[in-house]
Amino acid sequence: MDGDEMSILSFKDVWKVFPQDKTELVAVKEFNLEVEDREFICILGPSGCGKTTLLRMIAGLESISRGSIELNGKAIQGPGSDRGMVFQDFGLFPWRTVVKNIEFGLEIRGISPQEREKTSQKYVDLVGLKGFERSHPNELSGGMKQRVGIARALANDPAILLMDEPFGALDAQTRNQMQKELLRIWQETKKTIIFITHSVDEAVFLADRVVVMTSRPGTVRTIHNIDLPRPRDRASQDFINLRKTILDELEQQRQGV
Amino acid sequence: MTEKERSGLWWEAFRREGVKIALTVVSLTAFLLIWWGFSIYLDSIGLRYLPSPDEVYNAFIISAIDGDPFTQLPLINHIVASLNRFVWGFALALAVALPIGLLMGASKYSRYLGMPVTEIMRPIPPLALAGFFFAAFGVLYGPIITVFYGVFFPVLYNVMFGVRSVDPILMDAARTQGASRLQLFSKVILPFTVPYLMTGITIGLGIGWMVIVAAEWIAAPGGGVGALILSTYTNGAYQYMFVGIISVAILGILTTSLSRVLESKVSQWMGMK
Amino acid sequence: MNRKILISIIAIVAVVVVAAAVLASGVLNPPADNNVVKYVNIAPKDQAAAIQQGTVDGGVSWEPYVSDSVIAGTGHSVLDSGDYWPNHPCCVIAMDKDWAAANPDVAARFLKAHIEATEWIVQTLEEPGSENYTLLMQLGATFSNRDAAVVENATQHMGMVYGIDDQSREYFKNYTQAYMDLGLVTESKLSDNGYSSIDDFVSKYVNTAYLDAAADVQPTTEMTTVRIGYLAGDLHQFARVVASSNEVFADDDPYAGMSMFEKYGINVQTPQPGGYAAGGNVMDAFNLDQIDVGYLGSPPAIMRHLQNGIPTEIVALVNTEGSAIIVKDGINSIADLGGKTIASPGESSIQYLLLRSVADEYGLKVQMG
Repeated sequence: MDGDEMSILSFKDVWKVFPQDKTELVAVKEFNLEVEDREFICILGPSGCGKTTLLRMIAGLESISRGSIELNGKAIQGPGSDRGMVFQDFGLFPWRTVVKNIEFGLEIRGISPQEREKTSQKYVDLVGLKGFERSHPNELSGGMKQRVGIARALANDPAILLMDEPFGALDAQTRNQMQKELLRIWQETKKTIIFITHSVDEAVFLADRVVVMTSRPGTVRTIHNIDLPRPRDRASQDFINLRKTILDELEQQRQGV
Repeated sequence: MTEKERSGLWWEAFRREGVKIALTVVSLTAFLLIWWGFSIYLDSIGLRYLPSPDEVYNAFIISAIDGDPFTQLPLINHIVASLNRFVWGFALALAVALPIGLLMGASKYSRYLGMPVTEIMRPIPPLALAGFFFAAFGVLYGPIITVFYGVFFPVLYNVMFGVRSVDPILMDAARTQGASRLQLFSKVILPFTVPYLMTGITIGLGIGWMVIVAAEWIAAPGGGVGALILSTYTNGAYQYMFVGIISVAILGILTTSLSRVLESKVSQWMGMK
Repeated sequence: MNRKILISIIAIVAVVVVAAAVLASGVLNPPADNNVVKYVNIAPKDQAAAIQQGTVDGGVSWEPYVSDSVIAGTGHSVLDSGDYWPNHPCCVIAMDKDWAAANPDVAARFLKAHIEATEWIVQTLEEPGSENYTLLMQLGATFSNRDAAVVENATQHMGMVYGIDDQSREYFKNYTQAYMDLGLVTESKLSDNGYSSIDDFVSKYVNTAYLDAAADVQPTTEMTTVRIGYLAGDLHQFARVVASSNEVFADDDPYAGMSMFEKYGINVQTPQPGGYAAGGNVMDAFNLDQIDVGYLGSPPAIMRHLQNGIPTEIVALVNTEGSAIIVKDGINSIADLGGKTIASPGESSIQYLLLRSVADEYGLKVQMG
């Protein structure tokens, strides 16, 4: 990493311990990472490695047992609108229309209705939901629902976008399409993104850096810089090599090497 | 689509609807004729408890205009008196059960505090307590409290269940958007509970109607359909009794279908169907 | 959309509240009319409480509830039924016509016990302070769940009579006429039931043959089960209480430990323990063949026989008089009842007929209210 790039999010020896009946479950231990501004980070790891817990700690939905996570130099204490989160199961309010879902955070912050409408329209256009403003979530397809989820997370203009396997519930075709859309949105909005996935292909396609975590207790195992130019070609030899390297690593890990 | 195809579709729809309407007419006519035949037969063997439809119709006209000879109160007064009690009992139950249900759903400790009592009281049929309510609250408020009791628990339990069913992801989503505890309540929990509340209301309306008639048997100042039914029953004036029974049936159908329409409209508006 | 829901909810609540307010404010109810006596159906045992609570201005009921209100001070009598209809028959014994015809000896034995009980009460009431007197008051207090003082007062306001005379028959005719005048029973009901006139009806509906036969009945050990119905807590039917009690015979009496019914071979069975709420219910029990003999007011017997053709007949009197209109302070005459609300035991009762008849005489309409 170039030393002159500003670090926006830094993990300093982060631990997460869940008290069990008589013992303790260490979900995350000694996690250290510096994330640069406008960087696209994918966190990859076997299931149960604590990657979702890690993301929820950034969001402030889980407390940090030890260490700290700092956003722009300030330690995270709880949830806040400076971090936008996108959920695997969308988490849309079924009684709200598309625009009302997008405006939720603005409403919370007491933004005027005129201002809200302008902002939500901007994000409706950005995620390509024009014409569906007045629809309810149950009238939308999975891909469209997640577009609403992304727009809602972005509407607060957060410093960082947290995505918890956002395309995990989508079919393969929609998933590929949404990945391209996400890259376009990322480039247009210039946000920093932390993206959780268990798909190596998705991580290599999207990320600037792929962080591979160990199985529980989860911590950083390796970090892969993906220097492939965008748009990336899944059929290119470089792509395939990178994917194979990471897949082999995960396979080794599964065999306990 | 050609003209012929279109008229074919129209004919299909007409036939489907036509059959439905025709069968409805057949069903109701058969019901009326069987009733009529049965009343004539029973009368012929000396049992006079089933009045014929025309006797009920005549009684209905007399009740509607001058009032039946026993209570001397026009039918509309009985209906208004029953509705009055019903609305008060219902509104009171809603006003009390909604906040308590929200509280018991949202807070574990208030649930621990409230559940033992509600679990004991819920299985008691309201009518088992009607006499006590009459003695404790008097003839004016006794029937209202009885209706209240019948409506209270379905509303309470449905609201509580609604609050407890709130999708945790929605709570997380709202929290990451910066919602405060109060905002979580007003913008997530409350709207999420509305369809459950509507279900509670629909069930409560049904129970309320069953309860009001019997509650008016104990005492009904100002009249009431239940009082009309009881008065005419003890006098064996069954044609007037059936006027009361049919009035209750019509009012019950109206209120429950109104609440059903409201329930489905609300969930439609809310995109929660 | 959220706002739309909120507005809808507010609108619904507003409509409910406004509707309730409108209904409660009585916009749709006619204002109190001084030419109308309003009545509410309240069981006599609850009437004193209703007067105390202020829900009603008075009540028309039977003993012991009349004495109950008077002694408790919740009200005073504005009309004793005996003043309006002197010596009027009140409760009677009615029998299932077919059952009595098939079991004339059982009917006579039953009535013999009734006669003996009635005579025992009349004689005992003449000996205040005697052991029997205390027992009588006790029996009444237990049955009606009231103080002995209330029972004592009640016995002073009614006559214990079993015989049916011409005066009784005249009253039965008057009751029937009143029902017809008030439109509660249509005149066609007479011919429907095979009667040519009110005189014809009363002469056929009242049957004193079993009462006459009872005079010659002797005690028997042959036991016959008779199913009876009576009114809950009604002291008018004191004779039934006494005839059923196994305490009335003195220890040296050959029938000690037995009841008067048992003395004459009657094994009483009560399908409705505790009694029925109103005379109409007793008539229903006849109709459903649940009872053979019933104690009830003569007006409901007449009304329900004509209304529904229930095959019964009146075979004996049980009491005369003993009803009253009790009112709270400030009401001193029948004319004062206009615009007031009175509790009544139900439209099939003699008390309701009394209220309707008296009010009619004063040009007042009686209406549920």
